[in-house]
Amino acid sequence: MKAFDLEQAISLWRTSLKSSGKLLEDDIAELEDHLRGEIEDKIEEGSTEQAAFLEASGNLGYRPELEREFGLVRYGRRKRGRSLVAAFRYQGNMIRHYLNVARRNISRHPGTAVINVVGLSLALAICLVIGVMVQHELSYDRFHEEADTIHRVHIHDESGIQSTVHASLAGTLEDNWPNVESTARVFRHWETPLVGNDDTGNLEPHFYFADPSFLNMFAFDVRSGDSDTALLQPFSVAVTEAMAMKYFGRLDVVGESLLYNNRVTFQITAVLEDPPSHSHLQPDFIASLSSLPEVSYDRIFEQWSVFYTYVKLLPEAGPDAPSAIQSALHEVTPTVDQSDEVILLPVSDVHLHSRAITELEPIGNFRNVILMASIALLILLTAAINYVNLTTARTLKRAREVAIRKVSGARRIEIANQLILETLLMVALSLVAGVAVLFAVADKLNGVAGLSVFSTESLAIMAVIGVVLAAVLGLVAGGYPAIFFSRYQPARVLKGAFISSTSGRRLRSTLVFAQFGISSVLIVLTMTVSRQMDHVMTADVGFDATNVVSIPVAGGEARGQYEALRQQWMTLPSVTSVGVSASAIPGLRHSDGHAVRPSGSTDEPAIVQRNWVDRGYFEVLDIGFEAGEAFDERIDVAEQTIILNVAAARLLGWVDPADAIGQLVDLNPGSESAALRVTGVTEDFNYQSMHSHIGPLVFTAVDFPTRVLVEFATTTNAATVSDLLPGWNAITNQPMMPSYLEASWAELYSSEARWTTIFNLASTIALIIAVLGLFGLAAFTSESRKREIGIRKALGATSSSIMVMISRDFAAIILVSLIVTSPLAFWVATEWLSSFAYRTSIGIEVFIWNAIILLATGLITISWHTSRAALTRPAITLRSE
Amino acid sequence: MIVSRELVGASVQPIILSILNQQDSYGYAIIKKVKRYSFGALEWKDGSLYPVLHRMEDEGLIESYWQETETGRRRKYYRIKDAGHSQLEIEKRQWLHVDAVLAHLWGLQPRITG
Repeated sequence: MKAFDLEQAISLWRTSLKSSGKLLEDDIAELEDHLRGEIEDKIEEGSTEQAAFLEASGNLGYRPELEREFGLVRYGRRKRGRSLVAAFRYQGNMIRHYLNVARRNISRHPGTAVINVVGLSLALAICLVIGVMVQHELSYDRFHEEADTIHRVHIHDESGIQSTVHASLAGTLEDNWPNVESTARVFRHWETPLVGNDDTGNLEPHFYFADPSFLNMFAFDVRSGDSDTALLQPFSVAVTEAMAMKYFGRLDVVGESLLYNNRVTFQITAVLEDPPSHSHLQPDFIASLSSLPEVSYDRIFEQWSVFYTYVKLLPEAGPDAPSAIQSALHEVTPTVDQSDEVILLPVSDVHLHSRAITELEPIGNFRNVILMASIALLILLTAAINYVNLTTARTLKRAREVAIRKVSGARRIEIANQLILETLLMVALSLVAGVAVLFAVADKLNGVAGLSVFSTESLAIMAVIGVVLAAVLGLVAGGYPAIFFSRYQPARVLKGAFISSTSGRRLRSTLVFAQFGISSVLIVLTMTVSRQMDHVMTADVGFDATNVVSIPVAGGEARGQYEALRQQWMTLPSVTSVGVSASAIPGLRHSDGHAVRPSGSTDEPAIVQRNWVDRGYFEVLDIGFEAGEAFDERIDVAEQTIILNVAAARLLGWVDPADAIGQLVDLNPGSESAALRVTGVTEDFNYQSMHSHIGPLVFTAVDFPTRVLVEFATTTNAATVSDLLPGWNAITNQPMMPSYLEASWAELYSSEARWTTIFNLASTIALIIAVLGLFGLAAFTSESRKREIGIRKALGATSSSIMVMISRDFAAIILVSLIVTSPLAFWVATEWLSSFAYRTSIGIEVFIWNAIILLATGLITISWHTSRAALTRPAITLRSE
Repeated sequence: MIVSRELVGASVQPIILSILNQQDSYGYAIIKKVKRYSFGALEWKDGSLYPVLHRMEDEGLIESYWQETETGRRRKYYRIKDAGHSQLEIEKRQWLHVDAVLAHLWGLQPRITG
């Protein structure tokens, strides 16, 4: 043994004190003087150098004690500057050290690391995707100036929540409430207008009419033109930049003119920035509301309740102002019934919270947003569970390392810091991987989501949020292992008394249980959603859209020649029938709020929806009749007849459809006085969507066809549709824009279709992550039980019995988790389905499939490892120990 | 007899001030002195003296300076300041007062009166 060297010992002692950076040079020099003084005294008393050193340094106190004592005055005002620098340098060194250890850990267990990184990055990626979508949904209409003061007037009457009201209501509001700053009415014609100039003509669905105040109330940037006056004069129109480019190929188009329905000329008075995607208003054109009597119906302001009415309150009106208006509006206007409820809906709530019957544009659904956000968090939780499981499963392997650290003076917080840092490192790696993948597939995501929300910008914002998310995830996933490990009693671990804790094993089982529970709920939900989609798409809706195309037609001129067009098309061998309607076809909104009652009755009339059609309409769509038949003649003859659906007949008191035939009814008594004779009662076919019940509907003869329907004998394609062109071009110079009825019916469920994709993706990812976790855990289990397996085999156990033994535990967990979470899954699926009026059942087979999928993936994963462990010859495992 | 931790904590400041009141001194010497006078009854963890000295220095009761010893070692000496003198007076009175109260209660003859 080397002789004791006092100077070297003191020097080491000094270095150790210096290393933490908690003691200053001067402190150490002072302590060293003390140490040396005491050592000298001890030696004088007869001690050896070594004994003197040990005793003196012991009396002085060991490093942690000294640091603690000095720490009490450490950061006093006198020394703060220097000591913080030292503290940072010390922390920097420690972090470098932790990273080193983490790196070694990763390279020693690459499998675990890969599972963690793949799981975490998948989870973070889907969270970011969903985050972008949720954020987009929640941001609707918050960009308007003082958005919280803008409301839309809704009236809840007996037929539902009406978002359009009578034109006079806006004036009433301005006159009666001084805290109303301004009002703006918006109108969008249900009939898609044809817009053209010398070069081109197109059907433009997003053609709004609005009050002059519209441009100041909503934050649509006016690029050129004057926002105060642009919509004052009749026949003025503001166009978006996109439309300016479309029609003129340039942006400075103020002063140009556009032709509306080949009839009315509009002057362009302003050019607007394209509306942002997070607005429930998506105008391409905004024409002055004062043009409407000329353009649409001369008494529109007096007779029709078709105006979306927005109210901007003064900022000082206070939060109670809307409710004051809500409760008093009936009293000042005859257009609102006493029994109706008035609702002032904040404009930022329109997108997610409006339950109105009609909307300017398709809107979102708050429940879906919540569901989507919950799914994201559940997936993140699944990934965090993996991390906790795989890390604590390494307990035994790392116990020794932690014990040594503790003995060498590491405090508990330092152990915890190290483990949290390791987790943060993992999460950071995963975040980088996840974000990289996201940026790579952003374009595809836009396709899946059906939105253009995945811009570089939005992803960059989410990446920043992702860092926060990752930090939280790191702390949560790293927190438990940190507490778990830092609790070790080093003396016991080093003496070998340490045994893998049962509490750790129980925790891991609980977490696997939770993971498979989450996966189970998501799988059931996914299967329910796709079953419902099948149901919706294949259910018997009462009409047949197969091989039917719908062609919008605008302008009176073309309409006048419809009969000629029909005759021409009927001569084509590929065409079996031709029909026509005024705007509404199944899937589109039908004209609402028509009053009807039997002639001579003085009862309150029934409120029904209405469509204007010809006889061909029923033929094209194969709509069956319960009684009677369609109009005798083709267009414009059957003025005096009406057709009801079963629901309408029942509403009018004819329970047996046959009773209704030949009866006279009054439609809109007061304005359309003539009595109409019922010629037929159709079956109840679903003319809205599977979201809503079949309501009462009446048909009258068409006098202004807006859509021609053509049924082909065989599957249509571009060639058969082009057969229609000669006839079309003979009657109009409008572009022919056919669309497949089946496709537009499917369009009604585009939101559900998008959800199906997202659910599929989410549940697949959740399952992948859970399976990854199980894979890692099974690997660990079979590895740590290698010796046990060897002994069992040596004593005569068969490979298969060993596989059963190991798999049994996991299978039990999965099974129990399935049973426990099934009611929850059932409830969530039922909730989702409840938004459909016609819905599929959640069959037992969904749960059986769910069980099969989970158990199969679970057991296949486990047996991958257990079979390897079970098949290894015992001699090998036992020898290696 | 060992004096309790709390009492040691309470008495450490007046003891240091009293020792420094006699002459300037350094850490190890202060501790040796305390041990000698108390016959080991006051047990200080040696290392914990220094934070106390530093705190008192922060509070302006004492000040420090470095000096070379005859063996060439750097040694940090402490000197009592005016504020330390008055603090010592205050503490002296407090201790004697407590001592008198206890002596009276225990029926001992007070040997010193303050």
